Amino acid sequence: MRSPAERGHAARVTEIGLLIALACVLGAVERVLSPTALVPGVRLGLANVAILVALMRYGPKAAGIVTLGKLLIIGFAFGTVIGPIGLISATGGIAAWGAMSALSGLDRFSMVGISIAGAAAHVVGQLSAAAVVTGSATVLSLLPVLLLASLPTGIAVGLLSRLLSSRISRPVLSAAEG
Amino acid sequence: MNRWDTALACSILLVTAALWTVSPVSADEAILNGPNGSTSVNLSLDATYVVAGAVGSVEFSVRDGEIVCVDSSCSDGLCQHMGPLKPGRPIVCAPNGVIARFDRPGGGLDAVSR
Repeated sequence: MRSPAERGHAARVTEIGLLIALACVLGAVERVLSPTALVPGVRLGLANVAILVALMRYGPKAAGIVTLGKLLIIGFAFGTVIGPIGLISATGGIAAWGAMSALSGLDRFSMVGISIAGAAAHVVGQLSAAAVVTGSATVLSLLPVLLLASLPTGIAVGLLSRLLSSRISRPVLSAAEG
Repeated sequence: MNRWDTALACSILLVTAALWTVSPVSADEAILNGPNGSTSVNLSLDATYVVAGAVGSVEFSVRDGEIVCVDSSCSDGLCQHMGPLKPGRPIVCAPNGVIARFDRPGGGLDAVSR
């Protein structure tokens, strides 16, 4: 017979695993659809929904696990885990996770604000890595366009995260605990 | 959105506006940067340029005073969807390390080859 603490841990691990899966599916779908984006290079960042939900429910460590899991699985699936695209994705993802974790610790920002910060940090991280990869700071001149785009995308992802978070109920996982 | 969120969004808008003011201006010449050096391209002459990149090559086409990326060996092909080169919006193929950009006013080049 498992103790309540052990069952709670199992439920947490299960939910984080589900969030990694969700992040991978959303990330893969968005990657396939990205050439059809209205502005090239601008993505909604749907995978960040799962990372933001993990952050708000379980804290920065869980969000970091979801971020790393998504980066590795998507990287292996698309063959980009090692190479310039992998480096750019990883830098953006880690920057977004760092910014969102820092702001969530302040207890002043809503999910939407944290999401905006994550989207902006993702852009800055990705372009910084792209500047290193290409060996030219010219890439950074894309910053105004992409930073501006991070506002609506951050708001959209924040609202989606809030919706998803409100729909995830403990009883869904408690069925597996019993 | 609470007031902290709004303040954050306004800060990002301010930074964006500030960055826009330092964007390079349009010019009659574009610069193609690759791992092997730089090439200056006259946009008044229609031509095709192939730049050797880190994982293959990137092909640019000059037509009617505009330069666009028409082919690339990279996996995601994002550079081919970026449209014509515009001030403040370089065409970047990160996997190949190739960039098309307008030269900054007064800016110099490390190397020019044709």
